[in-house]
Amino acid sequence: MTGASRLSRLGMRRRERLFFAATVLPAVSVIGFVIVAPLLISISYSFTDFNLIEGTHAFVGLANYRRLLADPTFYQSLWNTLLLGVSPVVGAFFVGFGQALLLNEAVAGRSLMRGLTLLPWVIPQIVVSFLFLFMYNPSVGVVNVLLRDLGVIHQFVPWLALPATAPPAVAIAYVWTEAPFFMLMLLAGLQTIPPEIVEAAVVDGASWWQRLLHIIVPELRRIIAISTILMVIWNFNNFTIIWPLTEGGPVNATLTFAVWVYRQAFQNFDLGTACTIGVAWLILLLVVTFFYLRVVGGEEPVT
Amino acid sequence: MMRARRGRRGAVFVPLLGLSLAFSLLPIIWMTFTSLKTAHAVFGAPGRLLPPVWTLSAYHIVLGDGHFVVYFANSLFVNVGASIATVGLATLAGYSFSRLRMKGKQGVMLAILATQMFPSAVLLIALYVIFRRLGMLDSYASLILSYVTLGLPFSVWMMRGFADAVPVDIEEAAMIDGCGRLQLLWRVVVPLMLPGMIAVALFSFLVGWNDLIWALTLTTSPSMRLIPPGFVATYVGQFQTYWNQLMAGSVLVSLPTIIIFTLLQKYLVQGITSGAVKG
Repeated sequence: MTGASRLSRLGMRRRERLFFAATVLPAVSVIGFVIVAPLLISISYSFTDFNLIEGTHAFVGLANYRRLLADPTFYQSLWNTLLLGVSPVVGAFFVGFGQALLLNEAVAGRSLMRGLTLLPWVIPQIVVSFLFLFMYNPSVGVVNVLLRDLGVIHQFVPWLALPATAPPAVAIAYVWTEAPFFMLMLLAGLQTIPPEIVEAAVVDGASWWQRLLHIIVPELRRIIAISTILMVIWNFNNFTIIWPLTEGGPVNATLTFAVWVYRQAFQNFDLGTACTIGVAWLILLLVVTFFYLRVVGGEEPVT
Repeated sequence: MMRARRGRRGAVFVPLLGLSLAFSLLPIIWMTFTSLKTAHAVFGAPGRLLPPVWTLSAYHIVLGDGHFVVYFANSLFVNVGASIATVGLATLAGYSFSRLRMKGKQGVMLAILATQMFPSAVLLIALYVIFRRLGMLDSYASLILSYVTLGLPFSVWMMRGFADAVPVDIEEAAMIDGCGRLQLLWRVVVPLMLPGMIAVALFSFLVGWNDLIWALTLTTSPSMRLIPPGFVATYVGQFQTYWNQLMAGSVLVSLPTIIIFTLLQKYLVQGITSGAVKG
């Protein structure tokens, strides 16, 4: 530091502090007032019988929680949330990793092919939902036509209307739109692996699988962890794709916490119950978020 | 050596690449071709990929019905507004978080990132009640404010990453020349962080463009509807769905994101992957 700047340091300090406050406060107060405060208010509703139709809003203690824990729908909804949160991520990971490995090999036209492969992730979720609604349609859907022509089914199946087929049908839509995200992250990761490491393994006679499992996957560990956890969190929160597809049906087969909260709050206007479900959902998300922050924050240099 | 290996593996590589592209693109091609069919062709020959007669009639109907254009304009206005606000807030905060020397900064940053993971439908309940009391349902302001919050925490995090990448030396030199912080930010830092700002703007726009639940809940009158709830109201749950129209609408709704993405791919890719890849 030069002498001149040392002289004005004291005056600078105050101005600096003012500057930091003025720049950080707007974002922090938006987050505080529009994210943190509403969350706390919603949590407080879970201890009341707040209902917009009946006009009630009285403190009821833990009554909502007792009712929720005794309700079999709660356990089904928890299971659905976990199933539709985790299973598509597994599928999307394998598809996306395969695509990333392929595109990493392709030298010519890589960016064009990356762009095309990304399309399912780029198109809006509402479009993904309508597209699968159309493809699964029991009278004109292409999935039925293809499977019939292949001899797998003999008559058209209403995939989204049967409790046994609706969850996997929804999961497949998730896989289709989410695989490109893994491709994007893993391809970026693959390109940071120094080629010498892989070349050295080739010289040592390591097979393609050995290189993949012992060199590439360990190198990508952090990216895999971050992408997987982010994707699980997004799925736990997903409403846009699932609502037009099934609205949580048939008979609650795809009822996730997100859909259930919406139904209770904005179809039944039973805000107390909706917020109680919301608290259970929040706890689930906090557990996953905890792991996410450990991965993201853990290896970051502390500045 | 590389070339020889590639030649031997070409027999596996090319078909796999074809399969991968087919997996990604066939549904989109299906959507596009359906939008170019007549309703009659969709019902008459399900499973037939190519339209028997190529027609833009579905687009004429969708664009001419008076609703779609309103939904589209609403969506565009709300999302552009939210994305500008997000960039402004996130750039200022991200820069300061990057330069600020403070104990527990990492903790504050992680807390901000954690708020991105809150279940948005739960926040929505309290905000719905507040907006209702303030008479702000069915307003652009409530939608823009909501969409800012959907992307802001992650955007602050992203901008801090971009600000970290701007060398401090340049700033110190400018400061010695008598440049104040604000001037410095505007003249020196903002041009260097522009790629990051573009990435954040895109991220924020896409988050809003993907939303259904907020738009479904916070608006009720048809003139205020955004595209996702507008589509759901128009098409879902009807006895007979006009798939060619729905697919034409879907193509039109996808266009902004596809165009933006094609033009600005490298910024977004950089923005999304930077936090995860380095470190």
